Amino acid sequence: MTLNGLLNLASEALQANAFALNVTGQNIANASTPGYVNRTPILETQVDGSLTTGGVLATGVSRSYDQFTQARLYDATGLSSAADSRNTSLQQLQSVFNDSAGTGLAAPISALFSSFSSLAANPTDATTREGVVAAATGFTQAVNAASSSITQQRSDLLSQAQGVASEINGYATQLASLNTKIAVTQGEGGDASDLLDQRDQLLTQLSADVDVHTATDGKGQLVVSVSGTTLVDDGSAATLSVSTDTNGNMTLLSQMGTGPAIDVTSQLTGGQLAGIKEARDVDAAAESQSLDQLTYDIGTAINTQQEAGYASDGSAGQAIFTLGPSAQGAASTIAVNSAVAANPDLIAAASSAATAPGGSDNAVALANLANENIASGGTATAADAYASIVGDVGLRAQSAQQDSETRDAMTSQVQTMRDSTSGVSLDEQMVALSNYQSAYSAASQLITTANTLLNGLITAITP
Amino acid sequence: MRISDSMQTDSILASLSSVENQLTTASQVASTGQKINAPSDDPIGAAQLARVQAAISQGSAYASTINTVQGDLTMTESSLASAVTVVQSAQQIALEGANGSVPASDLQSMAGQISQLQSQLLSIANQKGATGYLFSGSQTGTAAFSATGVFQGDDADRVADVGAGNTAVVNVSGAQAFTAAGGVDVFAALTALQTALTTNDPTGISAGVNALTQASSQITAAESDAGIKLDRVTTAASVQQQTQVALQSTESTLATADPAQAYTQLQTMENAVQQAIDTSRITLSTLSANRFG
Repeated sequence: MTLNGLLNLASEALQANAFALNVTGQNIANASTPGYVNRTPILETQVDGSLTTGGVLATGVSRSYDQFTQARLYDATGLSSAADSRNTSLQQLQSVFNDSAGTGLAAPISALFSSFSSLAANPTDATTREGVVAAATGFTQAVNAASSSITQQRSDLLSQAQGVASEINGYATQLASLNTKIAVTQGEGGDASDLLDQRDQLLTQLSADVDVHTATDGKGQLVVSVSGTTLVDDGSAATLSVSTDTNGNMTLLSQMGTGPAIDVTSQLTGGQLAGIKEARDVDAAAESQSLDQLTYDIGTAINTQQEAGYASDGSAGQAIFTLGPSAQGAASTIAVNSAVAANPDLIAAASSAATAPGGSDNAVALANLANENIASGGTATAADAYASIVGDVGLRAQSAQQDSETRDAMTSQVQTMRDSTSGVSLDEQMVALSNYQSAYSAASQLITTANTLLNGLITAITP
Repeated sequence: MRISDSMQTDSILASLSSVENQLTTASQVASTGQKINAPSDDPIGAAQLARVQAAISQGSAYASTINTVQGDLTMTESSLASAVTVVQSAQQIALEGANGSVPASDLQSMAGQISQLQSQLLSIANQKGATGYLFSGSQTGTAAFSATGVFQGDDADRVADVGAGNTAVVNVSGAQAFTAAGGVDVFAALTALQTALTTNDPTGISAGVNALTQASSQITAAESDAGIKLDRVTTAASVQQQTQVALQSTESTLATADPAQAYTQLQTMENAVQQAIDTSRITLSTLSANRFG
């Protein structure tokens, strides 16, 4: 060991601690940067061949990163984001059936049957007959509005899914380009930490849109798959697109380069896309179908009874509602027969031509339909069938809400685990800062000491 | 566990947003006074509520039906009572005429009185209620009897809904009360009596007395029929009222929030939010304390 060696040692220590201070500075600067992973400087003792020189060398930084926690974060983010978007959609869906806010169908349905009841009490009164037409019109308008509101929501959800798909495609392109940059940087032996942080952050954002799984290929490159299909492989990205199948259900297609578009809808399990799909094609579709069935059942029962009766002028009753041949689409197409709307005397209150216009047997029968099991395949009254739609949509919305809360809690737990490993602790940085600062000052002092010794030596040996 | 700064800020945000969510719910319940503001608040309750509300609205329809038919039946009953009085007056006159010792000029004036009573009875039989002519059967738009006393209605029953699955006949047959279908054609009998008095036909007069006796009991039977029908509707009305009260109480139990509970909850949540804000402020100020000074 020489005094020059001591100077060398001090100079290395200055460099290494300056590097460590720099890394601490980066950590402090990025304490609030989303996706930033805490870095630790790697300081190693200098080895010269087999000889320990006792010096220090900063060899790089290590990222405090746990790939399993990160993978769990993608899963959890995907699931909670799916539940959140389903929840949002269902809150909208249930507003169609929210009788406490005055938007439901309970009032129009009971008004319809009540109007027949009033008609039975006073079959020849023109105002009462107008009242029946008004109640029938009110019923069809309310059902049409509910149906079109659901249709509108489904079409909005489709546009939303298309927006999400194009966001995913944007992320995929960025991920592919980051993959290439990381490969180049690491190939040159550089520090790719910033690029890796960016890539992880992009993956977290991607996992909010669709379920994400990552793997490393043979060359050490990241392969990203979503909904069971490869989205990014090395530097190439696939394109996702959202459209509808012949039944009007949402489909997700994936296309890599100029290859064929593959339908990957069935593997979709997480992210906004999954939530949208479930809300659109399961929840909204089910309510829409129930509404169609109920409308068709009520319309058919009333038409049948009406056709069994006789109008004021003694003519045979004709249908009050125009209905299609099946329940499908009934809620959107049902309307009041224009002939009846124009002439309320056509409402068949009497049960025979002879007892028209004052006979009310058929009006009573029409009113009694309210108490008969005319809906749900003859198992429920109209009011019961409507109540079960309300109950069903409420249960769906409630479970979506609970799912969303549970999954959000899970996500924040995983996020906490991730932050515990990868987040920046300013307290820790403060300790590190003063640690490296002292080391740096001590190294400076070492130079001064070596210098003093050298000067003393030079003075001593110089005549 | 290693605690990083973002963990602390995230947990502050999460707990603030959670208590604020609860505050929003509590304030919604307190301000609307409703427990169920959307079906998801209580799906089973919301479904029950929809059923109960349908039943209540149906019940109001029954109530208004009952009002209408009760009015008409009461009017029917009193009309028939007046009709009995009119017929009995005619009967009195006929009895006097049948005496045999009445001078011809008096018989003429008696015939005039009968004619008056006949038109009085006609106006009673053509009485109109809220639902049209009371005694025309189903032909409520047509007067029951023509000016000459010919029946223009029918013998049909009119029914109305007075409760769930409870229908009641709400008219009394004019045919049974006043025409040959019930035994005696009252107007024809009066006309015959009038002729008999004018022509001083003792046989005709005494036949008239008999016919009117029968007519009187025939109309009285119709009157008691009206009374029975009115009773039935009145019973239905009281059943309906009780049902409605029960339904409304169920509705209120299902839908209405207990004000005391709602306000207490609101106050609790307001305090919780305030505490969460205070706690956050302390934590944040500790975090941002001059650690690097």
